[in-house]
Amino acid sequence: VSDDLRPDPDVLLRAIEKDREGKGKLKVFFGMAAGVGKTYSMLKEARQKQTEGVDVVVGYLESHQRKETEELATVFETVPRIKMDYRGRALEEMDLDAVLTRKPALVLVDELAHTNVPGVRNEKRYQDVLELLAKGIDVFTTVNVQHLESFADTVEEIAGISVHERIPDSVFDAADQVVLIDISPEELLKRLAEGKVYLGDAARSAVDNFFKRSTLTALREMSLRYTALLVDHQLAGYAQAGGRESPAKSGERLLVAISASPNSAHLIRWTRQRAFSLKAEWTALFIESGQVLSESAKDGLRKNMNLARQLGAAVVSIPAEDVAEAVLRYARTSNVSQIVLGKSGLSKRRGFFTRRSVTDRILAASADIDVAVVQEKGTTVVHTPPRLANVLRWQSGTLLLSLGLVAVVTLINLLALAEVGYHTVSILYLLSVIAISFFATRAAVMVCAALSAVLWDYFFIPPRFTFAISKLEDALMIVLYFVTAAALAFLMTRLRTNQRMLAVREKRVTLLYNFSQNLSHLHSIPEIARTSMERISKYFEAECILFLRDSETTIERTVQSLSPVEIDDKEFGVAQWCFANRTPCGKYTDTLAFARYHYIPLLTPDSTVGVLGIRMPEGRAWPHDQDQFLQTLGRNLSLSIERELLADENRKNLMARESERLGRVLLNTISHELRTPLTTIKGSVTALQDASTAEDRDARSALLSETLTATDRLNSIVENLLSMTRLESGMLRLKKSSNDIFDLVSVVADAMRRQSRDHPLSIRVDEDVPLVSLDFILMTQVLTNILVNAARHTPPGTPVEISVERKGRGVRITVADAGPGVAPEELPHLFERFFRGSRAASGGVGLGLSICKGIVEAHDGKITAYLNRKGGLSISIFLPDSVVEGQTEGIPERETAS
Amino acid sequence: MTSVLVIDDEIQIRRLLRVSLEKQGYAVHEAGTASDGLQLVLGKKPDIVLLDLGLPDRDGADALSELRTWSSVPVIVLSVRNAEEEIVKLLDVGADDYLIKPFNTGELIARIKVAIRHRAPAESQEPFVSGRLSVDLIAREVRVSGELVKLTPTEYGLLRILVQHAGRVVTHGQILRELWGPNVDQDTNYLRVYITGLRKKIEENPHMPRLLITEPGVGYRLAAGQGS
Repeated sequence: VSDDLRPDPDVLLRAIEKDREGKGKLKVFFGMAAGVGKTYSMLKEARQKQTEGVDVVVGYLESHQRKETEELATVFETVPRIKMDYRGRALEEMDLDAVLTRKPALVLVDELAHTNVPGVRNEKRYQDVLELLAKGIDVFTTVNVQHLESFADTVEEIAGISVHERIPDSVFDAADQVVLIDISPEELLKRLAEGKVYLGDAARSAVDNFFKRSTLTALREMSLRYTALLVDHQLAGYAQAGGRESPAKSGERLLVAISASPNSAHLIRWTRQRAFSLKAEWTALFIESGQVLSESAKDGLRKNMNLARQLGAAVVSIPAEDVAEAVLRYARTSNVSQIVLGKSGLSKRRGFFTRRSVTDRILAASADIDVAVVQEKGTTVVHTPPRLANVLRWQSGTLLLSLGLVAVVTLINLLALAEVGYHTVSILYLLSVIAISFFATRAAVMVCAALSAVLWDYFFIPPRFTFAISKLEDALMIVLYFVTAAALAFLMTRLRTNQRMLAVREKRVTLLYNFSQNLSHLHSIPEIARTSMERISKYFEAECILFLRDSETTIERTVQSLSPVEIDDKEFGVAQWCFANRTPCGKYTDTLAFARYHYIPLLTPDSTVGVLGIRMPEGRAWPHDQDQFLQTLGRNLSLSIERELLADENRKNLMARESERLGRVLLNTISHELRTPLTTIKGSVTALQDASTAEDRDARSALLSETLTATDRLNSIVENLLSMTRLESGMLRLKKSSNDIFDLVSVVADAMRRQSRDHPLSIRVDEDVPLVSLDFILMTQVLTNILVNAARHTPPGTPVEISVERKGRGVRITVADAGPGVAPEELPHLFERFFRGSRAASGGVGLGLSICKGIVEAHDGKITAYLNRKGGLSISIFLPDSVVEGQTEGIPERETAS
Repeated sequence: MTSVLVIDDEIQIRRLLRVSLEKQGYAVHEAGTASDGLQLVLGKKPDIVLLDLGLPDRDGADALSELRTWSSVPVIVLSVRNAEEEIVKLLDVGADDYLIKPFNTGELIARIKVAIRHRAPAESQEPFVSGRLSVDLIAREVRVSGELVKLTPTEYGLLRILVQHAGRVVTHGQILRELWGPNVDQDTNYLRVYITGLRKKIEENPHMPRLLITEPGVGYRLAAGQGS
């Protein structure tokens, strides 16, 4: 039993190699700070590789004028850097495309966390590295612990410096090897004192703060701990590759609730670290609560979602009115074991009137799910619900309208007061508040409720034109009025939000449903492409394009679109990049952001079937909360396309099988059919070689006649085979010309009479048969085949009749024999290839009539078979009016008396 | 002795032709390629050439065009079915007739005789006679079974061309050019109408033509007369 559990080393290796197939290997030289000797170690190891014969080049190296480093680097070929002009300064970057073209086995790329100068393809150097790896190039690189996204906050706190250049931890996870270059803080400080550490242009004070023993010790601990964790993960990964029950995953699943607030970024990093150390999967959840987001909030949300995605989270956004409930519902349905929330969400005071915060409510209702409440760090902006001032600003239009309505109602009330009394007017106010709650925000409705209460008091409740209230009853009334109005306002607006949420969800669900329904009914890729683009562009109110897979690694150059679009080579390159790297890119992303479209790959579990491009109309931002939905649609589309691709393949296989079957039948029949006449010829001729046979006049004549018949038969087989091949291969091209059907029939009849005199042939032609446009030679073959069949399968002496008649606007040619006919159930099969009737005389390949069918149909005609009144078989060819040229009479001429 | 040059790359066909033709009293020369064939036309001065289409070294029409620049020896093209376009091309650059393989030896010899006879210089003063039809090109008289027949000018022109080529094929293009000049478009529509008209006047049964024979995809042939 234990043997079964122990992974077979071969299986293990294969599993690892399979995963890495075609991909480069990444080795990271990792350190706690500058100056530990990462670059130096990298160069030394690269040198070792080079002596082993590996093709090593330098992609980018920062020697910082250190002599020993520079000396080491001279032994390698260096790919020239690309020079970029940035705000008047000439900056140098690694020339990614040059390295890709050079295609070395191993490339050295220093400073993984570097941010590229705007203008090169990728925003960050690590994206360059990922591309190199994807193209099968091994990479050596260096990085310090503070650049890791999930450590950056902690480092900022410990060292008091801000870390701008960050890389997602997932890049590290992609590393095949992480080499920790570790020296003691004392050693590093000594080097620093000796001036062996290059520190760039950083301010002296920052450096002093950073290179303190306590800071370095903390950084060292972080890097050591992280390396240990990585090793642990890799071990787990190997174990998993061995095929055991997923020991790599702890079964834990973390959920972090995020918002547009910058605070969420910290929560995301915290969750990532925790998930990593727990070996848990994790999800970042955004609840679209229908709150109106400002542009800056949208941007913040996009950043948070991107961060979570980069750090390896599954990002989900759900429309729901009640945030707490939605988070809990999602957590339950997705088996989340731990929910991470921000501390700022906790209510500071807990009173009777204060509504409990989302965090509080989740805490209260989480039951068996752990909840981690995390103190936000860094930026201390506390995100609160939109302030009144903001609401007023955003909603000034509806607010003004609401206030106007209250004013109008006040006027009406003043006029009506004499008639109805001051109690009744409050009902009108209440009505106006309800009316307002149909269109205005909750805050605006509240303002109106309060305002109308005050107005009622001032203008109507005696003593009028004062705020004073004389009767207790009236005081009670006004309190009741306000409470009622406020409650109504609250309920109405809540109802509206709910409805809006429902509408959004409904719209998505409907779209998704229709989308997959529609796609499942379509059976060609162009149709699927068109329908899906129509749906997607309608839903997003955006322009949509599609590139389909051309080969394993490329997409078709021709773009699918609803209206014609120009895709230049650069734009196509972006789409191609998206396809090759299976990653969204282009507009609205950080990669190749200059592109005109936003591209997402159409992924299926095993492959990529294309790329979907989308572009919002000018001036409108991409709704990032819809990223996930777009991907869902993309997945649906990919599956439909894949289904069609598979179906195509299936069809091809079927066709191949069918043609294989036909090939076999062909071989069997042909070999028989060809051998019979050949045997006859050879037999006759060899007999004639014998002098006594040759001298016998009757015998000679009989043998020669047999030989002649056999050659005619052979000839007809060859002709039919050639025609079949032409028909099958699509090489048959009609050479139409205007022809007289008499001519056609007489040519065929003539040939027949010469071949066989066994069957009296009669011809009946209507006088008014027009000229027809057809391929004379092919039609001759059709009629010849039919006549040959008739002659072969009917007893000698029975008549064969050819008739030509006008039929509606077309022409019908019928060949009727008086033979035994065929079994009625065989009639429909007569025109199939290699079909031979059960009553058929021996001989014949079964090709003749199928060729006739092919040729007649190429003329848009129809060919049918039926049993005629004499019990024989009739074959009828109907040529439609499209081949009829009309009764072309010659130009009238005076006849000359000759 | 009349000499025949056979240009065919299949040795078996050459041997077959040699046997059958020599038996009929012809002298036979053989060539396996077009270039050898052209050499032999110069060297042996044959009375007729049988030219196979699909020779390995040269395009048939090309070789024939070259031959026609310095020789007017009659040429009969041997071809397979479905090569009608090629045949028409060869007839248009100066071939005299064609035969579809596999052919009947009797038919071949008849065609050879017709082709050679037409190369005889002096045009016959005798009326052309074939079956019940007789045409006197000098008197412009057409008779069927001895009865004068009225023809339209076009019909007569058509018949004249066919009589002049009696026994040999005439392509649609040749007829159109001779009747309506070199710039006529290649629409054979009217031609068919005149052929039908002519058949009604000279054939016993216009639906079963015996005299004016259709050569599918190529043109028409007027059945050769019994004597010249």
